[in-house]
Amino acid sequence: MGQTDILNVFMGEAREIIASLESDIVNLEENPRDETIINGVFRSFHTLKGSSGIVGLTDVYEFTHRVENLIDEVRSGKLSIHDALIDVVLESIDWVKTEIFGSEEKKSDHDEKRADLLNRITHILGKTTVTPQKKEQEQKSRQDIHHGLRYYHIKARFREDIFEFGIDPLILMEDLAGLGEVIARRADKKKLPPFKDFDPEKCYLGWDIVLKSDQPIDKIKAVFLFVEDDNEIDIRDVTFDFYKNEELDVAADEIKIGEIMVKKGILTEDELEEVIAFQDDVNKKLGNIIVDKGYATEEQINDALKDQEKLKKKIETTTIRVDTVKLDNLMNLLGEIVIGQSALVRIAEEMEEESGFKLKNALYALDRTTREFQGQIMSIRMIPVGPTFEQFKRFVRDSSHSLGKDIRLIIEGGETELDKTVIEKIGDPLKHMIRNSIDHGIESPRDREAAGKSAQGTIVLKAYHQEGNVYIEIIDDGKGINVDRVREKAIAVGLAKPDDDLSREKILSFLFMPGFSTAEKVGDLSGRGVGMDVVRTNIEGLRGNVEIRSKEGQGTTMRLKLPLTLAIIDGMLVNIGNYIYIIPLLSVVESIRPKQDGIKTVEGKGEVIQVRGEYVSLVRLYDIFKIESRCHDPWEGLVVIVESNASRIGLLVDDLVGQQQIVIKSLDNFITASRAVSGAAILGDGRVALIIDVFGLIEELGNR
Amino acid sequence: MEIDSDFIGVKQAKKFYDDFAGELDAADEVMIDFSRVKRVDLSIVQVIIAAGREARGSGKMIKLKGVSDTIKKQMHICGLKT
Repeated sequence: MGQTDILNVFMGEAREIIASLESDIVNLEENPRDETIINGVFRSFHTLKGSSGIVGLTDVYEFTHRVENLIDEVRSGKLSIHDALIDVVLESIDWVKTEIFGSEEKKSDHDEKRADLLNRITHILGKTTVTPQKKEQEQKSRQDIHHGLRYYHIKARFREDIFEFGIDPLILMEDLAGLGEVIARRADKKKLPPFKDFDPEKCYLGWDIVLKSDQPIDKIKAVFLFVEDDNEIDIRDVTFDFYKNEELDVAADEIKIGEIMVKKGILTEDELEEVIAFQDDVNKKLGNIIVDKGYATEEQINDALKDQEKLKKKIETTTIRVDTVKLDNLMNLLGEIVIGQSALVRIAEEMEEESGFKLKNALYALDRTTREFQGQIMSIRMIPVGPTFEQFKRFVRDSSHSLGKDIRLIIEGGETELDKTVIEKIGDPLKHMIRNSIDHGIESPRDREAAGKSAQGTIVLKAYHQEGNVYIEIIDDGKGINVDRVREKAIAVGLAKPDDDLSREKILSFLFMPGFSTAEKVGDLSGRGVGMDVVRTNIEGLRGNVEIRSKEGQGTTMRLKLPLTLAIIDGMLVNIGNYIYIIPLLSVVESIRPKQDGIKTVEGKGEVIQVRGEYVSLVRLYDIFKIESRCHDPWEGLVVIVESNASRIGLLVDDLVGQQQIVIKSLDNFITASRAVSGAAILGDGRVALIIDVFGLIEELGNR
Repeated sequence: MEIDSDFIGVKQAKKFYDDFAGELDAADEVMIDFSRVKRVDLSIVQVIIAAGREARGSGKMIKLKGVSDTIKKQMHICGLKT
């Protein structure tokens, strides 16, 4: 691993640790005696300290070391959680963030900030001193880091006939010890047979070693150069893990059965020690020894073995970081398979009956496999929304404090998974919506109490899956939205006429229009009317939508609907002249063949079509796209009623072709700047079909 | 049991083992004199470990005399407490 790779790993890890720390500190403020959180915070600072030292960020190392000391005092019960401590820890995290990720401009008053924070930490710590032993340990580990020392885990198991090749494994172990300091070593004697069965010319011993060394891994590997091909030699750089775990168990990949028995209360520590010592002398499995000595039954051993298996699986199930570009490539290839399948289906339809039937059956089976394959790839990209949501805890805390409000954030459904790209892009929209709730929704404690509510307001951030989509709701228990005021403002700015019959949903949807704000004053956080339209645009860009529901005096709910993936949609294929267009099925309400007398022209609105007592604008797609169509009269064609953002329109097409899964290909802007098109797809016959962006189309029509 | 060489390894391991086994069968206490031996290889240490287990299991004792620092380190590497 080169230095750049190590730095990248550190940056990724630091981001995760810092996000987790911010959430934990806010939780700690609410639960000041929770030892699990306190220990978690301590471990996070400890890991951050160690990792930063390894990559040479000495300032971060030394700074986090001081914060770690502070948390250690809390952990040992010498300090209690209080406001000043929470504030200084949160600000310390900000300082670390700037130091690691910030640009040079952001670091202008960085040194003063650092000095101020260290003074405050010292003040809180009071006269607490570090013990000489601890100081020595700290100095040692600091020196280790500065001298570039690394930790290697070496596992060596040799073939039985290794002596025949003139190799003495003991010499290899001696050579290894010469490259550094052996921190831990375990000789694996399991294969050693009883003395009477012993073959002195065979090799039975193996080793697990942790070595601290200033040598690069290649030097360590070189010790085993002549044996690595035919023997089981595994050498890993475990420096990061060492600093995380403080002590690296030599057999780090094993959870020992004895430990499980002690944890379950079946064995005492002393009994375990006795059994292990006995095991060293006899070639027997630990479980058998425990049963022979009468410390446990066979059933208890078997249960412990099952637990061990589960734990092993947990340890072996490691995560790996995968470049999302590789995943995108996989999805693209899958898309090509889907296209190929469609082509084969068309061919099957043109074949004679029996062969065509057989081919279609085979293709249906293949389609099931492809869908499953697609599901697996999508699931790799899916990550839980929880960590993203957790980040808002700090934001809510700091924002509400700055406004003199008391607000807590409750997170529900954090385990709900969403495509990584979607998660990365919903952060800002969610932040803005939460900001609105804090600024305009939740009242001050005094106003809340006057209204018979608790002084502390609540924002619930909730995620759940439903019917193939992910829903995210921001629910506050604030004062709600005054719909009449929104309507007045909409009329005032010309978005509606006084005699328009507007539904409640339609009125609330005006809040997403650019420049629209009913805020009495512009706050620090919001009220300028430049946020919610951007929110909606961002969400629509993710092929989602957002709606608002509100009850005055009780609160407001903003609900986002997002697709599980951006790459594939279910589409309705429609014919317009010689062209095929795709309408996302999510936007389709219904399709109808209108009657002639159902089409009217309304002044100021254009053509409308009557659908279940409601009049919906009719859009002639051939006109929009400037192409020839077979059907110019709606009653000769098909009208597909689509909906976006509480607005419905009817799209006139020639006919319906079918419905299928579509792999979306992006279109560059030089191909089309029209907002009515969101992308394209390649059909089975090789033709390209444009995908209609219903929201964009409605917007474009509105601007005409 | 005396070893008359400054190095013993896999080539002498069979004889070492046979002699050791014979001594262990014949007496409750076996003394091996390593005074002349400067170093050993893994095959010899393995014999000592296996013999030690056997001795403990049958209530016998093995003593090593004149073990050099080098051999002590080698045994320590193999997890043998000297």
